[in-house]
Amino acid sequence: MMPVSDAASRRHLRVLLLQPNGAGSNHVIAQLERAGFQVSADLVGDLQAFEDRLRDGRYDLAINGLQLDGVAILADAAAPFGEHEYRKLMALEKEARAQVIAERRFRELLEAAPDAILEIDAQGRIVLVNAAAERLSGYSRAELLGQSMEILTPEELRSRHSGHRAAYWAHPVTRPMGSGLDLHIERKDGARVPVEISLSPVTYDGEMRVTAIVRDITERKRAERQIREMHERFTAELTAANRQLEIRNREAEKANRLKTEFVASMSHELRTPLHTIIGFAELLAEELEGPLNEKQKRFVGHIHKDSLHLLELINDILDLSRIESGRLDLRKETFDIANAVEEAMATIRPQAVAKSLRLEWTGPGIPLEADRLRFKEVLFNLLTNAVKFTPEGGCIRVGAAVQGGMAEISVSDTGIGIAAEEHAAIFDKFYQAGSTTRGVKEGTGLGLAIAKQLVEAHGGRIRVESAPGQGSRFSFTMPLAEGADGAK
Amino acid sequence: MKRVLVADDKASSRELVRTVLERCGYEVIEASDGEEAVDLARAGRPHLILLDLHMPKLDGFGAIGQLRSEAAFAATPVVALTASAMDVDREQALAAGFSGYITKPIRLATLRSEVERLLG
Repeated sequence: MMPVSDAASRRHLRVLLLQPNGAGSNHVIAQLERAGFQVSADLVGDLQAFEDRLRDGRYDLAINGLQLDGVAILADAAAPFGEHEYRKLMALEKEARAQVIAERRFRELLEAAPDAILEIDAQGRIVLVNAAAERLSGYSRAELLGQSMEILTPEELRSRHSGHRAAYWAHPVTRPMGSGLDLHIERKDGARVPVEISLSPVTYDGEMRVTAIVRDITERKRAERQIREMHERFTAELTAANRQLEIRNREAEKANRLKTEFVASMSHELRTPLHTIIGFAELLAEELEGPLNEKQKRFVGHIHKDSLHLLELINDILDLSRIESGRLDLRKETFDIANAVEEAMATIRPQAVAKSLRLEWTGPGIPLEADRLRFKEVLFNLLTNAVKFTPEGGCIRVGAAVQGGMAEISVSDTGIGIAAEEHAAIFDKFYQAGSTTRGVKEGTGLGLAIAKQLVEAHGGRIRVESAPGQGSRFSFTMPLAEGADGAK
Repeated sequence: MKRVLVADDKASSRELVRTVLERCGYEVIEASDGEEAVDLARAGRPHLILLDLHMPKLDGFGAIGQLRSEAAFAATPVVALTASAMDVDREQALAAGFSGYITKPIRLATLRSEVERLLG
C-alpha cells in the first residue's frame, strides 16, 4: 500500500471517494464515523479525476466507489494510517460488505417471493412492499408506501378492518387472517382478488410491525370451482343416465311382458286348430270309421307326424319365452346325477334303439343342487340331437365329472360333427347346423337355445367341442350339492 | 250308460270328443257356450262334464263357479279341456274347483284314460 499523505491526525481522516453516478458509499463513511473517526470526504464523479486527486497526496484514505457487491473498494490508505487502523478499517469494510450482502439477499428473497409481502407499522401504514405486492395490487411501490393498509381492503369492509387491526395488535401472534373466511383484496382497478393472508408480528428498531403475506388464490379457487362443477356435472349426468336406464329397463320389462303375453296367446290360438287336426288324424289312423288303403294311411301319418312337430315347436317357443321373461322358477333340490341321467336316457332309448345306436352312461354318482326336471330337459335335448345326428350303428356316451367346483356333464357322439365356425351359432334360436347344405333336419331349432338358457339359469355354462366327421361333445356345468366338491 | 257333457264353442272339437267318447260307450250331450253348459247340466244330469275354458257368454271359470255352487254338482267330476298351456291357468283351474285339466291338443289315449279314471 502506498502512503498518500504524511501529516494527519489520528482522529481525523481525509477521505477521497469515487462516486460514479452519484451512487453512495456513504455507509462506509458512516461506519468510519461510528468507529470514532472524524471524516472529511471529497467526492469525485469519474475515475480520471479520482486518480489525479490521489496523486495530490492530501488524503489519508482513498475509496474507489466502483462497487463490488454494493460495497466500495478500498483503493488506498495513507502512511500515518498504522497497521492497527488499517486492520480496523478492513474489518469495518468486511462488516459493511457482509451487511450489504445480507441486505441484498433479503431484498432478493423479498422480491423473488411469489406471495405479496407487506409490512405495516403501528399506525396501519404500509412501510415495506415487494414486487409481488405491486403485481397483486396494481399499485406501484410508491403508491403503496406510506398508505394505510385499508387501501387494499374491499370498500365495504374498510370501516371494520381497522377494528380487526387493533384487535390483532392486542394479541399479535403468527396466524392466518380471517380463518375460514373468503378474503379478498381490492386492486387499484377495483377488481377483487381472492387471497389468503398470514400475519406475523416483527420488531423493527424497537417498534412493533406486522408482516402480512398475501397469497393470490385465484388459480386455486378456479381449480376448486372447476372440480366442483365437474363433480356436479358428473353427478347430474349420472343421475340422468340412471333415469334413462330406469326408463329403458321399464320399457324392456314392458316389451318382455307384452312378448310373453303375445306368445301365450299365440300358443293358445295355434293349439285350438292343432287340437282337432291331431285328434282327427289319430281317429282316422285307428280306422274305426273304415279301413284306409296304404297311401291313405301314409298320408294320415304325415298329417299326424307334422302336426305333432308343429306342437313341439309351439311348446318350445312357449318354454323359451317363459325362460327369457324370467318367469322360470327353478325348483332346486338335491339329487344324484346318475338317477336323473338314467331317466333321461330311458326316454330317448326307443329312438336310439331304432337307429341301432349304443347309449352308455360312464359317469360317477354326483349329488347336484338343481331343478331336477330342467336338468333332465337339458340332457334330453342334447341326447335328442345326438340321436338325430349320429348315423346308424354309432355310439352316444354320457359322462360326468367334478371340475372347478361344478359338476360337468357331457354327451359325446360319433355323429357327423359341427364345423368350428358354427359352434357359437348353434346355441342361437332357430339355428340348425348345416341346414344350408344338408337340408333342414327335423326339429325346432330351439333345443340348444333352451338348454343354454336353462344351464345359465343355474349359473352353469354349456359348450361344444366338435369337428366335421369326428363327432360332437357337448358339455355343461351344474352346481354341486353342498359338501360335494370331491367326486365319489 | 254314463252321460258326458261336452262344452266347447268349436263344433269340430265337440265332434272329436263325442266320437272318441261314444266309441268308449258313453252318451254325449253337447253345449256350445258356458250358459248352455250349465242349463244342460241341470237338465241332463251328466256323470262327467268336459268344459272348455274360453267360451262365449260364460267362460269355463264362470260355469264351474255356478255348478260348484249347486249341491247337485258338488261331487260331479268336471274337467277343463283347454288350449291354455300356462302353468298359472292349470293352478287357477284346479283352485276354482275343476277335477282335472287336459291341455289341447288332446292325445286320444290321454282323453280316454282321464275319462276312465273319473268315471271308472
